[in-house]
Amino acid sequence: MQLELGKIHIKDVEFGEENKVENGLLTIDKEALLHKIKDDHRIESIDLEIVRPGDNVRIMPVKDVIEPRCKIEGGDVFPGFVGSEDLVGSGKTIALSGVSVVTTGGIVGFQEGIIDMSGPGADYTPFSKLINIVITCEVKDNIKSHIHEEVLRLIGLTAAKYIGEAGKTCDPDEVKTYTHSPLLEACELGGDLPKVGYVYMLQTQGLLHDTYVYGVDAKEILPTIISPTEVMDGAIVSGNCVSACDKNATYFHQNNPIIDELFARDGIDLNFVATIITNENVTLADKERSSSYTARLAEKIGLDAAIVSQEGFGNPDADLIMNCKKLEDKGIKTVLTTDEYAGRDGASQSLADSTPEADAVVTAGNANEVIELPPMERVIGHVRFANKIAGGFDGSLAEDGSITVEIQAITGATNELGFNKLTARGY
Amino acid sequence: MAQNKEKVLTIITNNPLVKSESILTEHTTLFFSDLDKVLTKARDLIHQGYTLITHPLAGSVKPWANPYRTVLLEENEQLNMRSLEIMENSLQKYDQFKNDLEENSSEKLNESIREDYQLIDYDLIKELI
Repeated sequence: MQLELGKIHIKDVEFGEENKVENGLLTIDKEALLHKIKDDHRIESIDLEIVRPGDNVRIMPVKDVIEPRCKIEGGDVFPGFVGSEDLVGSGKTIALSGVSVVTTGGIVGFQEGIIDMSGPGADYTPFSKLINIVITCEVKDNIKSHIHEEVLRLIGLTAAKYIGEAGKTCDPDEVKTYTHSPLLEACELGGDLPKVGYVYMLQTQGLLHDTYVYGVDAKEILPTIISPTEVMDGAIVSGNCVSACDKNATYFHQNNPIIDELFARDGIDLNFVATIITNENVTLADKERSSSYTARLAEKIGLDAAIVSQEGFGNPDADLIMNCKKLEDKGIKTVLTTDEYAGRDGASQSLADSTPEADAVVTAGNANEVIELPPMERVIGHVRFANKIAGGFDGSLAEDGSITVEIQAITGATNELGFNKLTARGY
Repeated sequence: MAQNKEKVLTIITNNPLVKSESILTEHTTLFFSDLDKVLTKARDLIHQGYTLITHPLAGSVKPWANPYRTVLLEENEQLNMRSLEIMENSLQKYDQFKNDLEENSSEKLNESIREDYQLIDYDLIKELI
């Protein structure tokens, strides 16, 4: 399976008469886009704004961030939602790099998700470096939370696909070809290199904690094998609205840095043979089944080692540890990537579960660290949530508009795929 | 999701929404107004041979930000060590975040936020009852 991923570097974005990209300038026909996304009787109001790195702007609460992409060959982006049902992961894809679609909306009263485009908070989110097309959408009063989430999810995906199509006729600035060989072939090609797999844990705990694969709610799946190139084409979509710092927004799925690094080292010091997706469910029986099945798949494939990434924290720590232990019991070496909830002073135990086999763990930072975000000239979204965001506490929102919060409230701050740049140093 | 429909479960909760839904089922519901009691009662029952059906830590909402918690257990004969281990680890995390939780205690939350927290907690277990 081969995917040619072309990237167009977007330098600026403006609203105009038509949808196009010229010399790095993305022009979006705002009326046409609004027309496309507002045609839903559940929507009360909807608007679009463009914000740029360095702007004195705070966006909150952020629901999802999506990179605009389109397919030139081989299906449609976001299959199962806004595209056809054709399988993706091969052919040609164009990504508009440097730009994203951000959806906002207060689905529940305590929702978090802050992106500051400048100031100290901007350092903590990778999305402050992008030009963001922000969709502010309100739904009708009687709409239940899970329907509200679905409305925003579809609006975001539709907008990202529509905007992505502006790149269809352009020559990309860079093109990279990703080849994912059939298993037997890959094993032969890799020779003596260790066979490494990626165990990709998806948050699937119900309302506001869901992830979809080809449109299927991942809490209902048995762990399965997916091509990493399918992930790049939007086969995995986020419906996860809570825990801003370590939820995997759709953008992170599209640009998974673990997959990227495994591809970069494939054939050099390792043989990247498989990606296994698994879920993080609520019941212990589900956790046992999924982790056992993940280990069995890894054994069947013949993996020597696996990288396991977590999404979220708390109860999913149990899934992470079960995956680790069961893989190690089969002789498969593991490296875990996670983040920490070690208290505001960083002195408490970081995870809610542990095992001696978890002896190679990479942290993406302590989500309980406190930060003060100064007031911004403009807030896009819903400022009334500031006092009740996760990681916030009574009096979080000061009169001048500044917010004191744990970095848990900042979108992508401790992303467990390693997309952000927080690290720990010993002194 | 696991199918536990045929099993009679013990539901320990401080969530009024769970109580109002579960009272109509064949399951046993123990309602406490205090989160502390929910967790210690669950631990005590595990010592008496009950097995955990759901993980006592909340989903990705900050570990103890949600003042409502429901734990599902099933009666068994023997002490289940894995259940006890998970319960003890969860109690340890609870102690760690207890102070934050008090700042966020249910009396201080306004009605609509309270309802949202109840809904999130209920949604995690609704398919099982």
